[in-house]
Amino acid sequence: MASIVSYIELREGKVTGPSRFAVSEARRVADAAGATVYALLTVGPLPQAEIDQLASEISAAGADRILCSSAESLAGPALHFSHGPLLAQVAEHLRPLLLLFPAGGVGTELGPPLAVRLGAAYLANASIEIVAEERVPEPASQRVVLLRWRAARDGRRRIDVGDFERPVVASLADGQAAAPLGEPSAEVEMISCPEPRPAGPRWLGSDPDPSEVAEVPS
Amino acid sequence: MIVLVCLEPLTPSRASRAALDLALARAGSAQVAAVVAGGPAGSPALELASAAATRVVHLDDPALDKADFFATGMALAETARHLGAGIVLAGVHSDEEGQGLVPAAIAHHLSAPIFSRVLAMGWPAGSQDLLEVTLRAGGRVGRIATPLPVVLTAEPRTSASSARPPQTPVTVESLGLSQLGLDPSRLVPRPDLLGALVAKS
Repeated sequence: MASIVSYIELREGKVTGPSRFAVSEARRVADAAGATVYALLTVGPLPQAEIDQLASEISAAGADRILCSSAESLAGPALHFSHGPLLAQVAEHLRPLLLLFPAGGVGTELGPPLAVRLGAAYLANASIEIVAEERVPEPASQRVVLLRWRAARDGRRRIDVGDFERPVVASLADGQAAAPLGEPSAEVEMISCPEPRPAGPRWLGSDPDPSEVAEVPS
Repeated sequence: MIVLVCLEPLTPSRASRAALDLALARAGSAQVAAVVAGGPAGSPALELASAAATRVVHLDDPALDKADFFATGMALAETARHLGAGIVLAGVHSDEEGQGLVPAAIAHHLSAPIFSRVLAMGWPAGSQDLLEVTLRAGGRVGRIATPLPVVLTAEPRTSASSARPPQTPVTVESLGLSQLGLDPSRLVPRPDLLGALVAKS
């Protein structure tokens, strides 16, 4: 069965509102296209009970399965050097038709490098529409279309996911998750994280970003 | 050490102007070079670059006018290699498309780490091999130590550009793709990877 992967961003240990929205959008697409929704959760070393609690919340948002990777290298904010190899590993294993990132900086950081590595189509700040087929197929089917305004606002980019043999990577525009679309009981599969390069980049420290109040999880 | 700033052809985006400002403010003793891929000679991008950088390269090849982000990134990465640049700076996205794929393609072709939303950079005391980068990520302002080469992107600034002392414009060097070891005939554009363009009605 086709798959959709939705990346989950945590802030202060909590699932962000944009991440719940991304999962709910993946659910909506999966229901129309017939696909499995995988949520990808990346955390530092955490007790299993806390992982299960996060997984329960994510599955309630609409995920069928939770892929969780727990490693010291994943403890900080999601950056390409620390999280990119894991994303590529998941994408190359599942070969999803759609890889979604929640609104905010995480899509800017992780989306373009992943799309380039996979040779995938990419849309930033996209919205998703489910449209009926123009012809009358048997059985009835729907098409999944991603749209975004160009930054210059002179036109829109449009990707029909069904037209691509490659995956489509997209970061979503902000939105509000609908009421819970799933049951809080999805299966959690723990996956290993590729070892970081020994002489690669490393975190020196961080402080809260006062300018990002608007992106705090809701 | 060379810091290479990538500017879009024609008119540079607000983000790439911020990248140029960042390079000029934080390069320290490093040389700031600039590259413009495509566009005509005498473009605003080249004028801006030649008034600010100490070395300016114009990638002048008709193939670049139709090149997609992947090929453009390849040409810019090869320029960085050609110049021996350890740090490549670009805007996080253009003002037209706004996707941010070219910097990712540069990093891919250089096999270099990429960091977006960069606020500052500097060299830890006594180090020429590691760069310290200050950036915004995940609701935090963090500091990273990274080996070189590295690709950094800056967000558009909301404030005016920092004042710079005027300089006599430097001469623009023109380079063709073949001088970088690239075969223009093999740069097949794949515009479908950005989606079809639906004009505003």
